Amino acid sequence: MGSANKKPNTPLLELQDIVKHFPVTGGMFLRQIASVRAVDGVNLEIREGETLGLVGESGCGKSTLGRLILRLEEPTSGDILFRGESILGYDKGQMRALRREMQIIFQDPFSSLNPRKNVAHIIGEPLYVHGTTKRREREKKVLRLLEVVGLKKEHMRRYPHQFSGGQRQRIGVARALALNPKLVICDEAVSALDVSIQAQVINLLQDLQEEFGLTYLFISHDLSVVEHISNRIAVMYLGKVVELADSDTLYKDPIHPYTQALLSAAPVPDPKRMSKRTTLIGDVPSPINPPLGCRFHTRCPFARDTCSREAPQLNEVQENHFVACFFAGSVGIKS
Amino acid sequence: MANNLLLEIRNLKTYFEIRGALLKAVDDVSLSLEPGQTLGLVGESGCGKSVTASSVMGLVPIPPGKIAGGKIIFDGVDLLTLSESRMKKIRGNQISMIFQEPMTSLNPVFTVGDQVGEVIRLHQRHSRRETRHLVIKAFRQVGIPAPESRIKEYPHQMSGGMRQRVMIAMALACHPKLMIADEPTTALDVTIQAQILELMNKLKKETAASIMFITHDLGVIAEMAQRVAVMYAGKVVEEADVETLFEDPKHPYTVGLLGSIPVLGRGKKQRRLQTISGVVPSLFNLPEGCLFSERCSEARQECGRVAPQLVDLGNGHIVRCHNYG
Repeated sequence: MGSANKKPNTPLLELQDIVKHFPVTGGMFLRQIASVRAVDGVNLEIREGETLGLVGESGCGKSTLGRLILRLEEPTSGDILFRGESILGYDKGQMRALRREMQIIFQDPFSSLNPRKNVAHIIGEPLYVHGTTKRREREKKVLRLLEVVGLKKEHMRRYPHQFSGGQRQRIGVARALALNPKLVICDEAVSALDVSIQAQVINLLQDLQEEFGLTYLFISHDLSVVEHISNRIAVMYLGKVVELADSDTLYKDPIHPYTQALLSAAPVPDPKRMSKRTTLIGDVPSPINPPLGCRFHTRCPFARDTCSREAPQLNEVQENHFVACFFAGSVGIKS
Repeated sequence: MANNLLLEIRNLKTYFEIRGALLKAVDDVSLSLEPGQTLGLVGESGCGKSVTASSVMGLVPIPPGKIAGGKIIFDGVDLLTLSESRMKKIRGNQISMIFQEPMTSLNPVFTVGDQVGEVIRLHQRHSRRETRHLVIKAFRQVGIPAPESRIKEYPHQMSGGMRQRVMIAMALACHPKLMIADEPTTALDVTIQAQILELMNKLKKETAASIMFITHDLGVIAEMAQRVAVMYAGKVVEEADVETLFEDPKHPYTVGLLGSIPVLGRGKKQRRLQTISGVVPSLFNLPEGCLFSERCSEARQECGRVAPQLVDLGNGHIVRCHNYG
């Protein structure tokens, strides 16, 4: 996607060939014996005001990617640009200032809130850290935030265990919004919720985006949720992005065999739809020892010789539609 | 009454006594299952779907739980009247269960082959060699590659999908008449989920077993079940065959539930999701009248006072709502 750089307006966030390998230690002296290639050369840009969906199955590196953006993990190589400026060289102070702009909402509303602090404290903490030291002022802001996410004043002195899962996730959202961030990373933010509550939180996230001009990186394994909320979607498989397109295009015209399989595997609440399913055989290979060549070739129904030898690059096959497959467009159930 | 039902749950009441309060986890639930049928049980967390399953299996912890009433008639026998030793002969043999979490429901210190073999040896008399043979056969049936070497592995050496296949092999080992699957694919990735669902449908055809399929995922239900019962706060609020339920849902809760899930392909036409306001009421503090009345957009005065009864709309479509009284 090198050509994307020439566009006049720089994207809000840009990932350039990001790699993250985690060491695996073993043996007598705990030497590094292998590495988990969690993220292996990802190029992505997130434009201001959009929602970029990131889908993939467990272990594909989507959560690691989110954590890398916030520098909760340090990348092994590659660069991360925020508003065109590399953030990898930032020191602690600069990073702290930057974190005002980038926030994260976690999956589990039970373990991501401190059970011993009340709501006023939980939501107020980022404000305190970033300089709102007067308690009065802080509580005024907390009150406003509670209102924004649909909670009430009387909730302020309560503790996390007194809330339902959906309400806790609202607290998580309020905390993420406390500092008026530009970019919010939603890491499986609605996955742990019951469907009726999930819908409430999804609608809330969309309303907040409109109101505050937020940009989302929406990480999820749930295709239908991602398709609903995203403008563009990136599909990851074993540390690499295999397809990137507008969400409508991706659904109507998936090109990569993995995307096709993923879409056809998703259960649809319509008993009449007789599934003409392409079930993938086997499991996702281990990211410690990913297959050579195209990482998907071990499960790909269309794999040929080349696929096991060379790794395909992410190429623009149609306008704004990027696919990493040698036979893009020439294979698959659709064409 | 001995028509051709495999399982008939009649007015089942499973209560729990916790901190002096009586929680009606399952309250007056009636369900029936024909041979070879898959009955889907849907609902959100805490609606009582898993407790219903545990009641059938005789796995409700007593105390704090107690079966306060009702009958569970399986193959002509009321399971609730059986002694524990007779129940043991049925459990795992004629009725078996597949749980959600294949990691915690397998024993980490025994090989998977041993664990499946244990079930077989518990219910049938076989030599060790025969048992091993049967285990390998069961593994092959559920599509585990290289079963001869796989039976020597421990659960941690297998992936989630493979572990769930082991659980299914274990459940099928004694050719049960009824399989209860409690969220069997919830912990799995979509492509693996598709494999497991396909496998379960294939095995159901081969073995003619009935399945009680419990899930919160309406997409999975649409694919697996012939009949569906929707539960809410311990009660069945609607029951119908699967096409009717998805095409013509009657209960406001079912309607809301179907409207609140994003559907692949609907894309931007469905800009906002419908929501059901509020949250599921706590079993400690259930509302008067209709349990759904506080969240219902169509609630009338009557709904907050009088609990609605199940109404038969014909063709086996049953709904618990005053709108159809």
